[in-house]
Order: sequence, then structure tokens, then C-alpha cells
Amino acid sequence: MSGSARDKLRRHWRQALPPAPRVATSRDETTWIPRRFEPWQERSSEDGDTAKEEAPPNLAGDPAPGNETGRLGAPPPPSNEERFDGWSIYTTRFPGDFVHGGWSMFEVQRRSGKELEELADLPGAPEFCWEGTAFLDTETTSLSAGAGVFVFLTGIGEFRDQELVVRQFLFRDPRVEEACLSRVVDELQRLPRWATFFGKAFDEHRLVDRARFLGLEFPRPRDHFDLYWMSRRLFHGRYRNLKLNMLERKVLGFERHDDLPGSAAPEAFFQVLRGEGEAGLEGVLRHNLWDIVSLTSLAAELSLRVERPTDVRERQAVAKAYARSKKWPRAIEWLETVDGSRRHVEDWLELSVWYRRLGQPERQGEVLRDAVAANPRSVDALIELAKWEEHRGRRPDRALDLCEQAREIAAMPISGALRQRMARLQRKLGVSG
Amino acid sequence: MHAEEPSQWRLSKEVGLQESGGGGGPKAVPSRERESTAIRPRKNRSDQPDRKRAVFRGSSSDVEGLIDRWRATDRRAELDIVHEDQAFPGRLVPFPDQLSPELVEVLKGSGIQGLYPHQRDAFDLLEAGEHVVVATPTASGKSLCFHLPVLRRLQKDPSARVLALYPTKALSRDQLAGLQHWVDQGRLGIRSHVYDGDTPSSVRRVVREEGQIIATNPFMLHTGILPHHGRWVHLFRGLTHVIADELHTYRGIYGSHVANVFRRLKRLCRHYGSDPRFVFASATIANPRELAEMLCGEEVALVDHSAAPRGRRLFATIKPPVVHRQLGLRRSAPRQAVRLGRALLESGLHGIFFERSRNGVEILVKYLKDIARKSGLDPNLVRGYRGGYLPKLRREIESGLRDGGIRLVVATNALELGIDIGSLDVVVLVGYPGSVASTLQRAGRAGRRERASLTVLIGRNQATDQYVVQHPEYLFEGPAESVAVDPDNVVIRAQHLKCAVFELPFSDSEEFGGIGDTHELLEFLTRDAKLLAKVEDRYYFSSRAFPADGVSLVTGDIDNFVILDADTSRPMAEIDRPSAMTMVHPEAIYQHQGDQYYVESMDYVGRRVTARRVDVDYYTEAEVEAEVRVLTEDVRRSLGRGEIVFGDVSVRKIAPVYKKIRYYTREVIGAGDIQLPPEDLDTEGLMLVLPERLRRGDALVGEELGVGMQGFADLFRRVVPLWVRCDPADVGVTVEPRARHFDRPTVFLWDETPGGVGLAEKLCQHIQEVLDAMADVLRQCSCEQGCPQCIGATMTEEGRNKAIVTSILAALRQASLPSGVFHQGVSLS
Repeated sequence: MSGSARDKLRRHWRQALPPAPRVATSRDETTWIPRRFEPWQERSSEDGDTAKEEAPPNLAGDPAPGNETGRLGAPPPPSNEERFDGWSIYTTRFPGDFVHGGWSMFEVQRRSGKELEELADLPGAPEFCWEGTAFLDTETTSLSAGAGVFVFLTGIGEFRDQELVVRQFLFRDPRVEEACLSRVVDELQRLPRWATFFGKAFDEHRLVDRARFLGLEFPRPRDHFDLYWMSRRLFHGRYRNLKLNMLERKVLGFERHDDLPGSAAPEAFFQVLRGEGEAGLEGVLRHNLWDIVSLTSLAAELSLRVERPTDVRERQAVAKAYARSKKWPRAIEWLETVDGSRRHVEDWLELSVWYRRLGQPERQGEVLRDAVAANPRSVDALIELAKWEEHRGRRPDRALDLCEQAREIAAMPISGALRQRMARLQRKLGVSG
Repeated sequence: MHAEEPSQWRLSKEVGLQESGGGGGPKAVPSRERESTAIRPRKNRSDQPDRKRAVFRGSSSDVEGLIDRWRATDRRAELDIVHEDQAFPGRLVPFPDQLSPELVEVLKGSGIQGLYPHQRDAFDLLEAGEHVVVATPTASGKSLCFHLPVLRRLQKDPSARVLALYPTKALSRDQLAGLQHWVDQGRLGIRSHVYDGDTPSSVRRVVREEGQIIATNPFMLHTGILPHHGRWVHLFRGLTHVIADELHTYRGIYGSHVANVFRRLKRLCRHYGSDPRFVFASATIANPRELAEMLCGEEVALVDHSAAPRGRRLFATIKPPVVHRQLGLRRSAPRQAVRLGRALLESGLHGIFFERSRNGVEILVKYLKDIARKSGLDPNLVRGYRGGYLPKLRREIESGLRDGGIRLVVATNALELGIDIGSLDVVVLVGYPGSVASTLQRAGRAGRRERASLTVLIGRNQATDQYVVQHPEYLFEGPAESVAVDPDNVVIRAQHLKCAVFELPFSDSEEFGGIGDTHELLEFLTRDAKLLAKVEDRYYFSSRAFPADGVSLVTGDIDNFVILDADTSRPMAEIDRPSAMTMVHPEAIYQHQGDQYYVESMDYVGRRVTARRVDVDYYTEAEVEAEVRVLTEDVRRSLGRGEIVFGDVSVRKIAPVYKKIRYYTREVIGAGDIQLPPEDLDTEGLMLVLPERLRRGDALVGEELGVGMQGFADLFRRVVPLWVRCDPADVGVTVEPRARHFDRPTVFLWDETPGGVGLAEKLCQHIQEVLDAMADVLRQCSCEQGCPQCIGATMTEEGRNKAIVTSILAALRQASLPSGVFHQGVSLS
């Protein structure tokens, strides 16, 4: 029987092998889209290709894509390695004058960062402050979850004494995972505020899973600023995707060269496991380091864009961010700065809602009338104005007139709600349908 | 209580026929109508209704009345009562002392005064720490066998956890509701939850942390629980019982996968320090204990003597009348079913019709609804039930059946499993379901609650059906089918070993089933497949892929089309991709609850079908053709006077055309092409290439060759699963009287799992034994010309099938043949 099982498997395995892992250029593309939505996802990314990719001007410096000496700054300072049995801690100190993505570390800390609180949309009253925030990024052996996925590298950046200090915890031997991760836990116990890129759905869960697996008490972050979602609020629909490297290119204005793609990180770790050498780890460490430094520049850039939006779309986005935290005057203020001709119907309607929330129904009516004037064929605008005329303006005749206009424009069968509204208005007016 | 409801026959004003008001439960007929004059059904050849017996208590006469009346209205069809189980009052034993007073109180409150002996046995065995399989008939109180020990345990120890596995999502919800009933009644404070693909992510955490009874299915256990055991610490630490209901469904390749999922589960339990007892419940199969032991890898005690009460049960067969004397054709089974349905509707009894195909269900639903309409009844008294309906519709039908609002349901095997649909009076099997186990399981749907019930098997125009109808003892005297699994299949085991390593690093000394060859498998996964890495004496998972994603428990992938109603743009049903080819291709008539929908468009890539409600008098039908292409010949050697070839094959299944068929007359009124991608399966195959001449000087040609090979293939298909321990559905078989690749008559067999799991190869090694076994079956079968027990289905005109199959076998078997094989010589000129 010797050798037979293995021989048999050699013959049969070819097709029983799991499908090749999907090409993943960076983890943010593959993690949050449930598998079953893939076909749609593919389609929407195709659509995205045709969307305009207008790069907003960069306020923090002169945009020079590809000019990494100007924007990326100098190569990273040398790291200091503390080596233990099977694992290491690498410490890298970025001095205040270190420039990355057009921001020096001094400039980053000079911003208050309070604007990030608006954009983050977190429960409670989150407070952002550069000190005490963990800029965190991990490298794992898979994009999926599960007991067999290792978080073999955790990088944590922290501003301390005008410097950015990045500590990277790396283990090479799964048997010492607990020793390494418990140091990460210690570190995070001190830093209850996190800033990550897509970390709410990924890094946090992976770390919690591992800690639970090893029986460690894991400190969940008190406030977790996920820069991916924050960027999305500001730049949604502008670029083909919102991966970190895309934002670096389009928003921070630089591109990394000879960077190891995130998707290659697992293989570097597997090589170590298989005893094939540690050569690949260097690239992973550098990639992780740059990710963390980019987080700080991106955070600074986002806070600046909220304070001073660079164009119409950003102003619209900022207005919505304020509306989300129910700061109606600020929201209205930003949206009113958008020229009427550049407003979408949705902008008008939203503005009208904000005025209502603010307790200014008259202004709400004006906005709706302007909305209809600017978009005479918008069914939504007509119906909203009809509602206002019926309930606020107390002019059912005008409301009915608007409903009829809406009905004529609507290509599809009209909704039950509209039908009911019309019937009610007809009753009020004593008109027979 | 239900059984005591008076059943009244009365004259129906609308149609002048008798109808019962009681069978449908108290609410079925308004009380005003119930007061109308009740008369006894017209008996066969009886002229005067007998008023004295018009009102009677107890419903046992209901089905008899139906039989009488039916015989009177359809004299040409032969209805024979072929089997009868007398009513049995049941026997009770006291509750075990271990049960808490609250629990006993709840049981008594629900009218349960004691346990049936088999329930008590199961309880005692589990208390004694045994693994148990309960294999008693439908409606014998199987669920209570494991509910009681589980509830007792959870009451005693709130940190205990129970995992309950059901084959389908619907069943988990249904069964858990039953269990929750006891919990709620007794305010026992036990938390039970369903955890499956439909569980909203917002409650999943609560389920993981607080659920004491987790109901799920093997798929979820495989991909959603085991690989994430870190989140299920409470479950794995406290696991005391693993309940696996509907054991008989874990068969073949699927069962082999589930056995390996259990290996992984047990491994994690050992890691967390728990040692759960396995409790299985099974329908009638020949080998429940063996199957349970193979699945859980432990010794299992069998409880199979039911002492539950049951009503009188009648089993009848119907031979539809011959309608074409020259061809010997009988009236079609569905049409016969329609006549029975009419009688059933008029009688007010509740019944279920089992059809073999989804299309069959819809056609029968339409016919029965038409009848209901004509009789002035609400057509919604008749409903269909099959795979593909959305869960909400299914729930609605199930509850309609329970509360009596639905009188007739036409179903596929989707209702064969233990979903609670309450008490039914009549089960109609439209055609033989294909196995004894399935027949008895479906028959068990009738008379679940202590009253007389009837099962009717209508024979189709097929040899198998006609045989069973002629020889009903085949169902009641012979053994039920055995169910085979092969947990040690190397490919399946290696796939799960990979998952197991992901879940927990594997040490060098650990075993994972098999015969001491786990190490070889690990080495393969490490060196050849490069999925694992070895560090010192431990194997670690070293691939980016999520391992469970690449391991499908069932053959083929799960890939569904959504069917949208064009008028509302709402999803109305789902259909699996292989069936989509024949059922929802463009221009098809898709039938749903007896209504017709015209398929307007099909987005193959987006897996969407848009269909519009239409009113047409036809439906469409398409058949799948399988074509096998031989890609490689890895083994080719002579086999008797023929040859055996093993290699890679590509099986292409395609539906080239569809036919439009008029309802009722079944005339073909049109046809069209289907332009859809074929379903390709690359797998391993085994080919038996027959010699040109089966006996010296004799060449079989034409019909005889085709029919003979078909008979051979049927026998082959039946014997093979026993040898390679798989389910008949795990392999495909086809014959070609002249295969292009070999230019000779060829029998093809292939592994239905993409890529193959070694079934064809194993068969190649053991072909002699298999052929010997086939010869044995032929020899031992007492039939003269061939029967479903040996070569099944089709017959030649001269009825020489058995002789032809025997000669094919002889040609393939090595020189010496046991005497007796040629007891019927083949003389071909």
C-alpha cells in the first residue's frame, strides 16, 4: 500500500484543486464584496472605467504625479530591529521634516484633525488628536477570515515628540505567534484610538480573531477612524476605485516604485514557513511601513479637504458629511456655495430637507421651487414640491397640478403613493377623478 | 382530537356529488353547510344510499368511502388494496426519573402521558453515554427521542451546547420550532437558534455566544462554523450532543464528505475538551446502524422498534386501464392521478400527490386546479410544492397544509423529508419513486395521526412501474435499499484534511481516518499540492485560498438562476443552472403554481430570467442528451472478448430542442431550438467496449442491441454503487450502440464529481468482481425475462432481455463462466 494514497492523489488532484485564488492586486478590492455579487461588481468596475477621473488640485503642494522625490520625499530612515526567538520588532522613526505625499510630519501634526470627526461618522462623540492615535496596518496570510489565517505582521505608527514612530511586529514561526501578538496587545492597550485603511472590516476582525484563538484579551478600539470610508464619502464615484495606491496617486499625487504588491505578502511568509528563506520579508516590511506613513498624510489631506473643499463635488460631499452629524447650518452653508446650475436634483431636494430640519419651511419651499425651475422634468422634484404645496403652502390646487405634471412625465406606471395623493387632493378640491 | 371530528357525507349542491365536511378539519366547511343532509357514499354496485350510515364517527371510513366511490366512478382502472397495516394502539412506559418535574409537567400538559418504549430506549442509551441511531417509521415520535435527553441536559447544565444538523434550511426552522415549543411551554429558559445562510449578520454574534441549541446544516458547518471555531468557543467547549436528522440523506459522495466534516468536528471538540454524543434519526433503510457508524466513526446503538400508535394504513395500487390494445399502452399515470384528484377534492379529504419531476408537478397542479374551478371550488385548495419556490411561498403552503386551508398538494421529493405538514389522509404516488425507501418514506406522509389512511401507487407505462404494481410484495417483503458511503475515499479525505489543517495545525502523529495513511496525504498536500508547510513536527496551512471554498460537499457547484416576474420585476422562484437549460430557456413556458409564464429573456451571465404571466394551452418540454468524449486512455486492456478503458472524459450535456405540448391531449403543437451553452463536465470515465459479436457467429444489431445494452447498463448502474460505495446519482451511465471513439458498442460510466474522486478508477480495478456480482444478480433473480430487480426498464418484443444481457456479461467475463448463466440461450440469426 506504501505510496499508493499519494500516487492516487497525484492522479486525481489536478481537477480537485481549489480554484486559483482570484487575482487580487490589493486587499481592499477583494474583501468587502460578497462573492455572490461578483458579476455586478465586475460590471460596476467597468462603468467606473468610463467615469471621469478628474484629479482635484492638491492644496498642500504642487501636484506632480510620478515625481516621487517631490511628494514621496526621502527613502525611509533606517529601522532598528529588536530580535527575539522567532519574532522581531522593527522600529522606524520619521523625523518632523520627513516629507511624504506632500506633507511633512510637522505639517501633519500642525493640522487640528478635528474635521476628521465630521467625516468619520462614528457613534458617540469621537475625538481625534494626532497623539495617542495608532496608525495601524496588518499583513495576513489570506484575505478571508478563519482559524488558519495568520496576522504575521502588525505595524503601528504613533506620533511622539514631533516624530512619527512606527513599530512593526513580525513573527516568522507560528509557534511564537502568541508572544508576538501579546506585545501588539500591550501596545494597543495604550492607544485606544485607531486610524486604518479599511480596518473596520478587515484588520480589526483579523486581530480580534487571532487574539481570541490564542486566548488573549484584545482591546477593541474606542474610536476607529477608517480612512477608506472617510475617503469614500469625499471622493465617491470619482476614481476607478478607492484603493490606497489610487488615492496616493490621485489625492496625494505620488506613486510608489518597486513596491511589493500587498497580495504578494502571504507568499513571502509561506516561503519562510517552508524554509525557503526570509528574502521576501524585507519587501513586506517596507510595504507595510509605507502604508502606515501614507495613512498619516492621507488623514492630514482629508482634514484639509473638509476644511477647504477644492471643487463642487467636494463641497457637496462635505455638506453631506455635516448633514450626517445633523449640523444643518454648516451643511446648508456648504451646499449653498455650490452654484445652482451645478446642483443635481438630489442636491436641491436634500437642501430642502435640511431647511425643513432647521425649521425654515418658507426657505424650503423656495428651494423646491428653484429645484423644479432648474429641473422641470424631474418627477421627484415635482412630487416634493406638491407635498410642500399641499401641507405647508395649503394650496391643493397647485399640488394637484404638480402631481398631474409628474404623472405625465413618469414613463412607468405611477406609484401607489402618488395615486393616493392625487385621489386625496381631488377629494379636497371636490374634483371627480 | 382531530381524529374524533365527525365526518359527514353530504350531497353537494354544485356538482351533485358527495363531499365530506370533516376530513379537512373543523374549519374546512362552514357549519351551515355541515348541517345539510348527509348521505353515505354510493358503494360499488350499490343503488340506494344507506341513510342510516350517513353520519358516522371516526374517520376510518373516509378513505374507504373514497375507494368505494372511486371504484364506482372509474370501473376500468384496477384498484387493489395490496397491503394493510392494522391499527396499533401504542404502548407507553413511564417517564424516566431523570426528567425534571417542569419538563414532565410540560409533556403532560401537551397530552403526553408517557414515552413509547423506543423513546425511552433512546433516552436511556444517551444517558448511558452511547451514540444512538433511531430508525423508526415516520410519525413514530422520533424527534422526542432526542429532544428529551437534550432538554434535560441543558436544564442541568446551562453551559452545555447542542448542534442539530438538518439537510435543508427549511427543515432546521421547522424542527427547531418543535423543540422551542417545549422550551417555551415549560419556560425552561433554553435558547435555540438557527444558524445558516439566512441568519442576519446582526444576530450571528448573539447566536454564537448565547445559543445553546444551534440548528444548522452540513454546508454551514463545513464553511461557516468549523473554519471559524475561534468565534465558537462556547459551542465547542460545551458540546454534548450532535443531532443529525434524516440520516438516510447522507449518502454517496455527499455522505462521504459529511463523514469527513464530522471528523473535523470531533477533532476540534478534542481540542476544546468536549466529547459529544451523536444522535441520528433515519427513515427506513437497510443499514441505518452501519451508515451512522461510518459517518461518525464510533460504535452506535440502534433503536428501531417502534411502539407508537398508528391508525390503520392501506396501501393500494392502481393499474390504469389499457387504452391502446395493440401497443399495450395504459392510460397515463398523471391522467389517472387527475381522476383520483377529482374524487379526492369532492370527498373533502386531504392528500398529497408525489410527482417525479418539477414539470410534472406543475402540470398536475394545473389539471387539478382546473377541476376545482369547474366544481365551483376555490382553485387555491390545490397547491404545488417543489424545489425552486421561494422560502416565503413554501412556508405559506406548509402552514396551509397544517391548518387545513389547502386540501391537495402536488410535490416532488421536496416534501419527502420530515417537514411538518400535519395529518394527511391520502398519499398518491404518481409513478414508482424509484426506491423502496423513498416509497415508504412518502407513504408515511399519510395517517400521521391515529386514523386510517391510504397510499395509492399509480403505475406508469414503464416496465419498472408495472413490475412493482404487479408484484407489490417487492415493496413490503424484500429489504429496503442499503445506503453506501466511503469516508476513506482518498480524494475526499485529502480535501477535508486540508480544511482540518487550516482549522488547527496538524501534528505528525495525528490520524485522520483512513488506514494509517494520513501521513502520506499530508506529504502530498505539502510537497505536491503546496498547500501546507511543515515546521518541525507540525503542518501549517500555507495558502491564501480559503480551503472550504474549494471543497463542495455535493457533486457540482450550487449555481442558481433567479426567475423574475416581468410584470412586477420581483423574484418569483429560483432554479439550478443545469435545470435552467430545459426549464427556463428563452421561449419556454415556465410553470409556477399551475400558472404559465412565458420566458421573455434570459441573462445567462447575470443568471436572471424574466418571465411574463400568460394564458396558453400548452407547456414546453426539453430533454438533455449526454455525449461522452474520451480525452485520454490511461488504461486499456482486454476484458473477456471485449475491452476496458479508463481515462479522462468530457461529458457534454445539452438540450438541443424543446417541444410545445398541449395540455390534456399531449399533442405536440410546435418545436424550437434551444441556444444555450452546454453543461460540460470534465471527469474520469470507464468504458466497456463490447465485441462485435456477442457469441460466435452472432451479431446483435438494431433494437435488440440497444435494448440489451440498456438492460446491461441498468444492472451495471445498480451494482456499481455497492462496490465503490457511492450513491447511484454519483455516477452517470450511458450506452452507445456504436461509439465514435471505439467504433464499437460501448457502455460509458463516469464520475459525476468534476475532476472525479476515483470512482471510475476503483471500478476499473474491480471490474471482474462487479461483473461476477452482476451475473449473480441475474442468476439469483427468479424472473424469466428480466424485472426491475435485475435489468429493469425496457423490453424487446420477444422478451429476451435477460438472455441478451447474460450474453453481454458472458462476453466480458473471463473464459470460465459459472454454470447457470446461460440458463436461457441466445439464438440469434
